[in-house]
Amino acid sequence: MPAATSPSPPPPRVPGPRPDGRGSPRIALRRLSKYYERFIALDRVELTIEPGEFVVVLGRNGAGKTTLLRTLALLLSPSEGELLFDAVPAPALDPAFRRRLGFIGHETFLYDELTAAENLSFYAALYGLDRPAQRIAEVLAEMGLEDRASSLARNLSRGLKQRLSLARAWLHQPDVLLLDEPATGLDTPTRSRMHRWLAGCHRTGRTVVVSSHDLAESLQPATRVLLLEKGKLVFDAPNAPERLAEMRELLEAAAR
Amino acid sequence: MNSARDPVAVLLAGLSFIILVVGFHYSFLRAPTEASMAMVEPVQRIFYLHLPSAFVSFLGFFTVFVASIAYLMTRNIRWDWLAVSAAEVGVVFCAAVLITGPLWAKPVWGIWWTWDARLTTTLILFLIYLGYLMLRVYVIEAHRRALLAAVVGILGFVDVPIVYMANRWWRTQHPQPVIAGGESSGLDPRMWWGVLGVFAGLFLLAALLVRQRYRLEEMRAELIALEREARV
Amino acid sequence: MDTLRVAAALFRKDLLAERRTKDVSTSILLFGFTVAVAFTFAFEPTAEEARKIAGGLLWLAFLFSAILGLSRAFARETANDCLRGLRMAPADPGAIYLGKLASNVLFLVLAEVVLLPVFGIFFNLSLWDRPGWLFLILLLGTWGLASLGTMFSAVSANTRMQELMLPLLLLPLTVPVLIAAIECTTILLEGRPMTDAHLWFRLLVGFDIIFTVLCWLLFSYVVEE
Repeated sequence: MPAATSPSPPPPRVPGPRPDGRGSPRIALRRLSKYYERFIALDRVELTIEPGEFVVVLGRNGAGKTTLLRTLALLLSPSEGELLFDAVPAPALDPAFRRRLGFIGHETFLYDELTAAENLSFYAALYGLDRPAQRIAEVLAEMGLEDRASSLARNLSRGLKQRLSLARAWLHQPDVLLLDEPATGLDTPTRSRMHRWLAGCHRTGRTVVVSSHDLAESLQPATRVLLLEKGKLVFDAPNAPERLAEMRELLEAAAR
Repeated sequence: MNSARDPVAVLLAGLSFIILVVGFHYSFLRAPTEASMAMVEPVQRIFYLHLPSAFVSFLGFFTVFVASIAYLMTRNIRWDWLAVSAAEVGVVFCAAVLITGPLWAKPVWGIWWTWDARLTTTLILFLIYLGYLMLRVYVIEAHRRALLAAVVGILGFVDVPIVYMANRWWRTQHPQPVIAGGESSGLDPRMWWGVLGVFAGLFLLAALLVRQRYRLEEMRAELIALEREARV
Repeated sequence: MDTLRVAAALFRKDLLAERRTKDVSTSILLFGFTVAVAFTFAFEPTAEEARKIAGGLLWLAFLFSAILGLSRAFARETANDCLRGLRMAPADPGAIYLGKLASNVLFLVLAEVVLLPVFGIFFNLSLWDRPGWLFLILLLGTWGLASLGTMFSAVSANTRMQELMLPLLLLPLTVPVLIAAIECTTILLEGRPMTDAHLWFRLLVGFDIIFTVLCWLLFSYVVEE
């Protein structure tokens, strides 16, 4: 993470479909369910995320956070229900729409046998960025990876790999950032630097959705908090202290 | 969900039984003897099981093909139920073809197997069916399984005519003895009655089996959905 | 065009990765060599017999090595969930298939070219009379194997028994390619005019085009979750 607490003002964005002229799409889930035979990963989730929100998704392991985030990233198709971006159902979206999404999952999506720079070069080509070398240099600097650009991805520590993964997701400057437990395995200073970076990203008007199983984690930059329990959305409220107290009560009740 | 009494199934069972009895009676007792096969008289009649089974088996795979396309287009899981039912029934009839072939070949030609185009294609078809069914066993989730199986079903079916052509061309360069009288030899019209009769009966039997298998799949899906709800 | 860009990027990435690790090529080469050696114990043909059966032996060896190489090639994408990263690219998923197909054909053909002299030595064959035709047969036949092989390596990666499913699916469906490639190779080795093989070439080209297009269209269903 850079020494500054927020990224420099973003350079002009990659041209992408922007039907309503606003940056981020409005995301809507209508009775969205995902089943794996007898197991219900998501259970009739109803959710609308407005452009520019910073949403934190909390829940225990197995509650459905990963499934929710992967579904938002268009990696999973629902078993039932609908996912809409700006009122367009996901199956009807143009493949080019994916340019507006950035995703970090449990795995890094990086090729171990390529260097950091080569990995980013590959993703730059996938997204058709113009002036890829310049953009890669920018992103490496933003994530503090300039001196590791020629290291093989497999030789990077966990923290550095996460930063590279974030670099990969941020490379094409998506309107929506989806991060599945990005802070896992990171030490505290790296964790707070990432939070500050995300806050800065959010300030540019982008939608950010972050999941975490650590219910005590700092929720500061978030505008909204969701709680998933066994696939159901059991709590959905703005990030305000009294609502959070409500949520903690809910959790204690569930634990009993 | 209706009870054990299923009027359509009973009708299919009854009809197929009657037609098969008539068909086999005709084939075995009334149809004329194939001139070249007179010496192996009774065994030759197995042809009347061999050829119709081949028709049914091929029809089964065609059904898998159509159902696979339909599933990919509509995403309605019922098409997948139809596909797996047709595949399981088809593979059984395919096995029947592969068993009756050698049973006939041995007395007539003195060898158990010949690599003529039709029998070889049937063997490949059997292996494709098998691959299709094994794939289904090893994929756990219903819709993923349906997607992967549909793709294999489509690719497999498109391949079968190509396999046949390749084998035919190969055979013209490396001639082999042929079971069932060769592609160009015609059948005495009276023999066709036997073949068609048995085919009609076997077709109805196959339809019955497919129907029962489909209902089984339907019940399994229902059960899983209920178990899912129960855990909530 | 998005598809072309993504496929080309994937192809270049595979080239880079292969130059560095040589995973796929080594497995094909080593396995092919082992199979060739095994054949020399199984068969001890005279010169004339050798010309008759070499086509078959050659393509069997290529087929078995290809199966190994294809699963290794796809394993590169399942590590670290890279396939999901590919699926996030703003292009039709068929582009992933085309990219992998191109790199698979390249690596397989390169390995086959190296294995040919090995077979030539073991079975005393003269392979280099008509190198242009030989290379064409290699290319068309390998393309056929890889067209379905790339598809089925993706299909079997989603099953519990990957090592079984790829050969189980691939072997029956590539029978036409095998027959055609073996016939062409045998005609070449026996010194007969290549016009004898025109039917087989047509079969190969037809097979390659039909299944490449079909697999390209169907690939998105295979990677969908």
